[in-house]
Amino acid sequence: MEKSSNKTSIRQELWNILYEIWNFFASMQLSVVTILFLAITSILGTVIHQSGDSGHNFQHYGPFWFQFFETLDLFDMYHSIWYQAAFLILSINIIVCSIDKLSSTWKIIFKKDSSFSFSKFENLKSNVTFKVPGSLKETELKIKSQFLKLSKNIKEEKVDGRITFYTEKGRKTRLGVYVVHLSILFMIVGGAIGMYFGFEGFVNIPEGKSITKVLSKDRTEIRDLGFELRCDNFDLTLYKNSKMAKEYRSDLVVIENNKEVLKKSIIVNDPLRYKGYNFYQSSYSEISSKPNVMTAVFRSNETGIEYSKKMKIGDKYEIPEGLGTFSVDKYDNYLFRGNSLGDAVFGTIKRDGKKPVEVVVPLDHPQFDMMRNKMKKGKVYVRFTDIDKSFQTGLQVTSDPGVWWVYLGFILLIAGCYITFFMCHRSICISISSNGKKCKVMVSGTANKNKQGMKFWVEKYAGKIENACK
Amino acid sequence: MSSSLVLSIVIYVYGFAFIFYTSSAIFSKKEITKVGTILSYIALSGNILGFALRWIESYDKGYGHIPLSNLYESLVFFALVIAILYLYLEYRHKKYIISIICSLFCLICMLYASFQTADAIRPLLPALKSNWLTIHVLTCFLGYSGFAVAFALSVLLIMKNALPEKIVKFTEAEIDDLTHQMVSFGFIFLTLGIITGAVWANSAWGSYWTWDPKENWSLITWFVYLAFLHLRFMKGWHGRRLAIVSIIGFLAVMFTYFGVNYLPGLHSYGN
Repeated sequence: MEKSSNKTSIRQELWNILYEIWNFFASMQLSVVTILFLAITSILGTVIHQSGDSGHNFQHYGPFWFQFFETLDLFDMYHSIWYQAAFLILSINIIVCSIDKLSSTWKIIFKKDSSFSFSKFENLKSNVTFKVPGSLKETELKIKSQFLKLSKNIKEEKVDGRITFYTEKGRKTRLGVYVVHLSILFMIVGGAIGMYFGFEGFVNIPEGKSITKVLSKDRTEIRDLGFELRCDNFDLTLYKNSKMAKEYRSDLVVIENNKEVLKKSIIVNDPLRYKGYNFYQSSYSEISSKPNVMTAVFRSNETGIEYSKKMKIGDKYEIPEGLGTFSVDKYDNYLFRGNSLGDAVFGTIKRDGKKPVEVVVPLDHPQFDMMRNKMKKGKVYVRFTDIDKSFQTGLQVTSDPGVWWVYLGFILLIAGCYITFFMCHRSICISISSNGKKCKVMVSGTANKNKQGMKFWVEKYAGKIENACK
Repeated sequence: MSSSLVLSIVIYVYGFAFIFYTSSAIFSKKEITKVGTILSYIALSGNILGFALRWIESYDKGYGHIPLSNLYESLVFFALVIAILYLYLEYRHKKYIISIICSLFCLICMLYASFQTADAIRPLLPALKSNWLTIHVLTCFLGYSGFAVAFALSVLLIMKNALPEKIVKFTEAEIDDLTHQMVSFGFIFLTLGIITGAVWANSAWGSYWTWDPKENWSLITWFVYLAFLHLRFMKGWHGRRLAIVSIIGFLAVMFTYFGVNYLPGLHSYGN
């Protein structure tokens, strides 16, 4: 006998503990504290440089603070255990709290029949009362037909010579807040999936070359993509009359089993997606400062005709009209009267029986040779267009299986916020009583939120009813 | 007529609107309030005109983007939305105390824009060339403006007892309710702003969240207002206590807006 009572008391004790834990996680204080904790600690992350070089951090903060921050994971706090733990607590809090609240509002939201009490409406401040001529029966019919336009599901009550109509709208909008909570959970789950199963890396591909492996951003993993990615060409376009970049473009080709399966030109904001991997235009660099191919344009001074030819360094070209042979010699910095004019193409024109003439065209001053030629009255001048240097494109490579959870979370969050903020559960009541010749009508309504808005609505609706009674 | 000329005239109109609103409160004359209202409508129209002209000018220069690409343009838009919000509140409630504070906000925004920031129309960086730019900045600034008006209401609520009744006219419950409405408005647009930013970042840079300072601060701001909503709905907070939360929230907004430009990160072009 004693044993069994002991058992029950232990069970009771256990239940009490569970109940305490449940209450702890269901509490509003926990939510607010966790939210504020996340807000305040997130500030630290914006002040302390994240994922930086530890040598630099050591110099910047000194040994004591470096050790202190390092221990608390503050140099990579968004991936630290305690930051994740805060999100875990928030998740549990959201789940428990939602179940707790939903179990008490479930009956309000899903009850079959609505019940109203007149006394609840009678003393509301927002009530609108007016008098209309006509009998009780007449007014009742007019109001009823108007009220039916608002809702098909109305309730009628006749007590002490007073006729009252009730209806309620948007009962299910009370679920909006749970949709918001669910959306937060989706986003946290998606974020966790991305953190544990996602990949982020970076790769450089020189023009004409291809890669199959990508080094991860934290340099701990070399990921084999399972297909080949080639960069055919990289282009950089500038705004007119400006040195500001307008567009970076890489022409990429996906090769699988020696077959070209996909071709796409990617620009910033428009990545290539293939087999769960996304390739983003992230940077570019010149492999060599020497131009690859350029178009030389020769203009004959006599005829005004232009001849153009694609040339590389070392190429020779026989200019028509017997103007001579042009060769591209080198590509170098050009000093003109002691001033650097930047990178320039150096060439030579040889004409039979004459001394070779050196031609220099700085890239930033394409008209240079023409102007010099005009002064010297030469027979031909040269300019260069479409100077194509050898580039390598820098691609950011990511794969994040959690992103769809997060996106679903976004959609639910928008929907949930819309319901929570812009819709409400309204109960509306109209009562009619007669004192002989005139009827007294009272329009009244409550909402579970936005009382001010409801007050405006009641005023407007009362006006409508009053008009209908005339 | 150029956008910068229109917008510099707008500064003065907001200034005079503020002066008329303030003197109407001091002398409690309805006629003076009317002048303030009319000036506000003129200022708002000028603000919208300036915004539109600037948009057209960017096309004339060959760049062609909505004027929401730098601090100057964002401030002009910020003032525009605040003006719409306070004129709406004024129209709906027929009370002018909010207009005093908000017209001052508009004035400060426009002054700061014209003195402290570069107003040249510049081409967009490749990273910003996206339709998401419009929707992202638009939603964010609608959110900020809602919070700005909520801040004005909260300040009013705290100062209410020090001011004569006939100037304030609002009851504490009304201010409380309006603050909540403005916070809700701001919250839903900030949410949309963060979401559109995340979707854009994912489509442009391959990651929807990079813990960049601006992202973080917008999240911090979101958390503060989230706390505001929960404290109101679940803990029944109201009045002064809640007004303080709203003020803290707006300080976070201000830091998200201005302070973050001093920290390194993706959004440094907002400077």
